[in-house]
Amino acid sequence: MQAIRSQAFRWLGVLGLVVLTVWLVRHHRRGAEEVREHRPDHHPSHAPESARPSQAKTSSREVQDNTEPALSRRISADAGFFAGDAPAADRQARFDALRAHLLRADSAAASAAIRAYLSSGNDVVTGLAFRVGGEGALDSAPSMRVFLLDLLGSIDPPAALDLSRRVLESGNSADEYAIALRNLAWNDSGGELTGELRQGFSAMLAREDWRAEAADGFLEALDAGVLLRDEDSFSRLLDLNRSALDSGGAALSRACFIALDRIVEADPGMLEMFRRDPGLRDRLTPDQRASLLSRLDIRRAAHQAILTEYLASAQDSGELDYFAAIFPNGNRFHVNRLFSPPNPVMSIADRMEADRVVLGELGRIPLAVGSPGEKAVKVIRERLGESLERADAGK
Amino acid sequence: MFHPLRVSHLFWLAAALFPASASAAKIFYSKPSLSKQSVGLVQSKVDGYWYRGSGTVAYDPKLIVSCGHVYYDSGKWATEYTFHRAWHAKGYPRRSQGVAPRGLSYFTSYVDACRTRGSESNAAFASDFTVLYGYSSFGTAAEVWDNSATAIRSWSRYKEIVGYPSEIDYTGASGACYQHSTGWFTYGAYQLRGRYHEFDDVSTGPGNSGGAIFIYQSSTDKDLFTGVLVSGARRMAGVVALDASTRSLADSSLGAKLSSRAFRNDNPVVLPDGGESFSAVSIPVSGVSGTVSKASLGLSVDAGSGELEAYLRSPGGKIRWILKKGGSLGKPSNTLDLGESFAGVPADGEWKLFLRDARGGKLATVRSTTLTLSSASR
Repeated sequence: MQAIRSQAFRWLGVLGLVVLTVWLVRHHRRGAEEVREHRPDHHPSHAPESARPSQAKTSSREVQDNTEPALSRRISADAGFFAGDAPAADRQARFDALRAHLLRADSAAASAAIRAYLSSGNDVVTGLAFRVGGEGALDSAPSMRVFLLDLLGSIDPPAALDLSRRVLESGNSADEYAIALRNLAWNDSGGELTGELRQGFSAMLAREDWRAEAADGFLEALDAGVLLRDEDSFSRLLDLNRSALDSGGAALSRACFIALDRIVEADPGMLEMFRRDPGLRDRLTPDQRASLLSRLDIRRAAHQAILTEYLASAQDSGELDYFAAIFPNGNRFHVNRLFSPPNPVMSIADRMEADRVVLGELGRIPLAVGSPGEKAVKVIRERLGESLERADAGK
Repeated sequence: MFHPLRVSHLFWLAAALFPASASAAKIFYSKPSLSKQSVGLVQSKVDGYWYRGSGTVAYDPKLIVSCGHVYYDSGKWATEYTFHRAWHAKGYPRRSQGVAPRGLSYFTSYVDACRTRGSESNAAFASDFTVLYGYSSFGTAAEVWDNSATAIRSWSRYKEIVGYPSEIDYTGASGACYQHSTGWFTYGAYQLRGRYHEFDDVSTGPGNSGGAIFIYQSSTDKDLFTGVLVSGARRMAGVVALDASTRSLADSSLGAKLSSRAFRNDNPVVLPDGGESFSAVSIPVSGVSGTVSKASLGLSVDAGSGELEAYLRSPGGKIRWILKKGGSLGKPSNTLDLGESFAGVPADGEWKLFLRDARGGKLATVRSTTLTLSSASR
């Protein structure tokens, strides 16, 4: 009896192991492709990108050959790599490694090797995006030419300037054009190249094919307008915005708006153009108009006048509602920039002080009783008042 | 007849398979847990729609670090948003139970601004965060570990993700409005792009955007806030590691004064007479927190009859001309104000000064160079 029971237990154990094994194998194989998404509520999911990067392996004892032939061979080898079908993560690792290698190399040799490639007429699509890093240089580039033109700007600025002028003249590629403009800006030490930069920027904005394509380089080069920060560039960006909206290019308009907003944040005086030429406001959507005008500094008399007129004339109640919710605008874009320096950040203390002044000045804006403008000012005063009261109460 | 050897075979088979499956054990929110007082629920209204996310009081009681896409979308700023620190209840809090930030710094790019709701690419995720500020305290701030990307990737460091998922991805259970925590785990993340990393087999849920990742630092016995959760799926979690730029932004928001440090190279460099190439002088910089606000360069040169050309290059490759052909240093020893030419550039790394003596005749010698960098720090 005991032997039968013992045997039964053994069979049960075997059966249990079999079931467990089968379950484990099936569980391990289960699982559809993961769909990666942003994590707020109510967002759609999108297709994931490729697999994990393989770590770029370099010998810890690698001795860098700094001669031009060796660097040229390296560039060619990496161009060959990019022409293949490696996954995106590996491409990025290769890009980073080549960039670091050339930056470390002897500048004269690296410059010669780069210029040799750029004058060869060859090019290879890297499969990477046009992405600006934190210092105005590229974190990734869509082609070898764009990559090397960008790097030349760091390695040999005078040579980069010469080459860039030819690129600007030929105007074959929006991405290359963007980097060529950037190299021009980097070589502009005392304003002697500002006119050329302005001309190049205007020419870029006038390119209908590039506006329609809205390539990443073109979009990032809108930042040149922020560097120039003059009325001509501001006006041209407004024109571009209108043109984009009229042709269904809402996306381009959004990028345009970033540049416009950053110009106004750095220099609110630019908003006085709206007073001199009210027609400029029509180059913006109601929301864009509200957002730009939310940067009015009503400590200035001229801006008080603009605000008064805006509140009295705004047609769209949605526009005024949005304006009242964000004026005075305490938000800012923090952008990796090809051209412009970062806008100064107002400290919390300074912002608070500015809000107090605005609260006082708002009381002096003449508005018709019961008008939409008056209601908007009431909302603003309540909002600002509440946050300042809370701050004063030390809550 | 039952054969004992077959039993042992199955046993070893199961034992071999089980560790493989155990290593794929998932890290997820198994139950609500109020783990971190500095983490809170965020409600924001953008273009008429309400969204929820998570945020962490960090750097200072008046600052919150969160993701970006809950506060700006399709060209519009959020018009209402409140932060509810350490909220832990089934239902949503009333607006009056939270604190409204005054404004925010939203990290984006011209390219990303084009896309509705942001591009779902690694590069876009890498910049998907925000620093919000207020006039009132949001609560006790978490201590921060900047530049912790290496620790996030480590397989031996203990990590914890905290946030407010509306739904638990892995189980499908409702998260309601409870705070959740993964508990401590040691999985290492993979770096996908810059500061953006992903964990395999770690999942949270929608609504967790802006949630925090903490790392336990054994040397100080502290849980340190090190990154923001910005993306996820059923078996992965994407986080952005904090770094010098978030620290600088935080310091600037708080009105931190500029502090300066000087870095010197006293090795004399003789420039080739009438040379075509530039000679490089290395100026290593380390220990400067945050990014550069202002810079100046001190040069001591015996120029003879030479004509100097010089440009300075940051560790990341940005250049700025110091002297161009026809320009003059003025005096043999001079300090040149570079202003904000390198503003926003991470300070640490190898800076290089490139010089050339463009005119032949007499040798020019660079006796010393001093790079002074100012950054906002508290």
